[in-house]
Amino acid sequence: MKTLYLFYGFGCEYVLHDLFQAMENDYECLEIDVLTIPNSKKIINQLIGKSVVFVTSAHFLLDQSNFFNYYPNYYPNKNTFYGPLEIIALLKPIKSVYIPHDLTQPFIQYEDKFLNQFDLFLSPCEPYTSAYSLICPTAEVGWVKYHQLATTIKPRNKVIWFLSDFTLHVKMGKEKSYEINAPLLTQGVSLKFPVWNSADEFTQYYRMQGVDVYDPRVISYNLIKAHDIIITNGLSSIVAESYLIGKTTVNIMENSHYGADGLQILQTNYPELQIYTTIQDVKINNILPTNQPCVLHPFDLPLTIKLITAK
Amino acid sequence: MSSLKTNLYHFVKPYYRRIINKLVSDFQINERNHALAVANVNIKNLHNKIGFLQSQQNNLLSLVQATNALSGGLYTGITEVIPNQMLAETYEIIQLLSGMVEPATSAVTWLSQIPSSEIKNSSIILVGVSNPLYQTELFKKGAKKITTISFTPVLHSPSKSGSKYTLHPADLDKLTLPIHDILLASDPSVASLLIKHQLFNLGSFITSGAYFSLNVTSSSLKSRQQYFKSELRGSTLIYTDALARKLIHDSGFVEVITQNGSAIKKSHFNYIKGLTITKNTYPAHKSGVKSILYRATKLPIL
Repeated sequence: MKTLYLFYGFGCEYVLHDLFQAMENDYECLEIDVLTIPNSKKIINQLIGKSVVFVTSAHFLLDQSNFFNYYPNYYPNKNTFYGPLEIIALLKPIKSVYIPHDLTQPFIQYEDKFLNQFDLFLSPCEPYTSAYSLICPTAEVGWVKYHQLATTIKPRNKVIWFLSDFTLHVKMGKEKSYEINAPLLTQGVSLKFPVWNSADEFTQYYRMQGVDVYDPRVISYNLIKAHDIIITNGLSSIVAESYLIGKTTVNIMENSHYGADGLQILQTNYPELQIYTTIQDVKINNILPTNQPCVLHPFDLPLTIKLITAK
Repeated sequence: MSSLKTNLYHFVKPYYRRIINKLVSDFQINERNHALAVANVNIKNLHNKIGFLQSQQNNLLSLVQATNALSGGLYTGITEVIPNQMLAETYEIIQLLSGMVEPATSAVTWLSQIPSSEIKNSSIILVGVSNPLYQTELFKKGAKKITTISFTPVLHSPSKSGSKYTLHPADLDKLTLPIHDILLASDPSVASLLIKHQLFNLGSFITSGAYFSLNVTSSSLKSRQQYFKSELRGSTLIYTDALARKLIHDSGFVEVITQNGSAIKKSHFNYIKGLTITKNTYPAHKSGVKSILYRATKLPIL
């Protein structure tokens, strides 16, 4: 029986498209982003009894009943879909592989207790590779979102702020948003908004106020590499990316969301992270440079394919 | 006569006031003395009571220190829904360290509740069982591998001999095991201790499911409400069915099922919404406590 490679996820949690594209010419592959298919349950049900290798980047405790509660910024739709654990229960894959989409929080609460349902955890870097090796076979393949060739950027400032929790700023309006952020930006800090609705409009407005703003679509990894100090806010994955690349990383709590235990996770996993309560507190000249090694490496596509297809 | 009266009046009158005053004064003194005597007695009683309470307090302090030493500092996860958790766990630890061997008939009866299909070719973790008949019976039913966890009162000295681990309950969170299929906890004291601490992360090493025996109130079996409560009755911790399920779900299991004949109750774990009762055919019970077998599965049952 021929093996089908099923690549599965939900919206922002689906980061396997490049892997799918790299494999689809040589292997029988099926890609499902449940938010783009009205009834993916029907497709999955047709795979029962088949030889399936299941590869997912989605949080495996999320499913149709709780996904839109977990991501309230998504507009709920009427798509019907299974969660990853439901797929494992239903299809009994010959192999199940987990590649995390979130570097800051690869596992949400309770998920580590279910990691043993997978046959392989493809870790982005340490400490995750070693930390979970007792529960599930692990292999380090680099960070899945870093698979583009790094292009050198000549920075205009030494410091850049990757602003997140952007929906809050959309709600308050661009004028108010700039007023709140100006005390930091006027210290010679560049800015990048996330790729989101209204990001271009905000980019234009901030540029008119004299702020150096990068296009939202510029690859974050390249910007991190180019700057000395990285400013973040909230529970953004940029925190982990910047920290693990070895950059001096700052996190601002004002106008940010951390969930139930996000702040504690940041403090525990990233002890050198410099956390400030308000924007006013941040004085660029007083930020202490840190000296961590770079442990984050580009995604190793050939190795990943080799591990997924191994018998 | 009237002159006698008059003379008597004039003779007695000066002394009358003195006599009355003396009487009153004596009365007041007596009253005062009496009150003082009573107060003295009360003060003595109070002193005695304070002394008694102080000695009780010292006893309690010793007890707390003893229970702390016994439990090895387990109380890092005190939950609001379990009042007297410290005392309850002390009783549980005393029970599982007691060395009392479960009757053979009980062991066989308990195991008979587990489907043979779950045991055959499975690797099993047995926690806190006292009768070696468990291993014999499980191997007879086709178990592939059995790892036993037994308990010792000595802290920080876990030992391993073949597939048998011996350790203090407070050292459970330091245990690293190979992956197993199922976990069995037949003793309610053991099961109660485990679920209150999310299995001490043993859930990460179990791939299929677990079976727990727990003492729950009969009336809570019928309820669909999320009534999370426990009560220490004597030396036994009694749960509501909802709390027992919640703690089992939090230990890393998506489905929890109980069954008694045709009566069946299922709950499902939702990451955002907590536990939801998906099926309940239990009849109403008014009162009483039952020892219930909870079956927990890692994966959803579709």
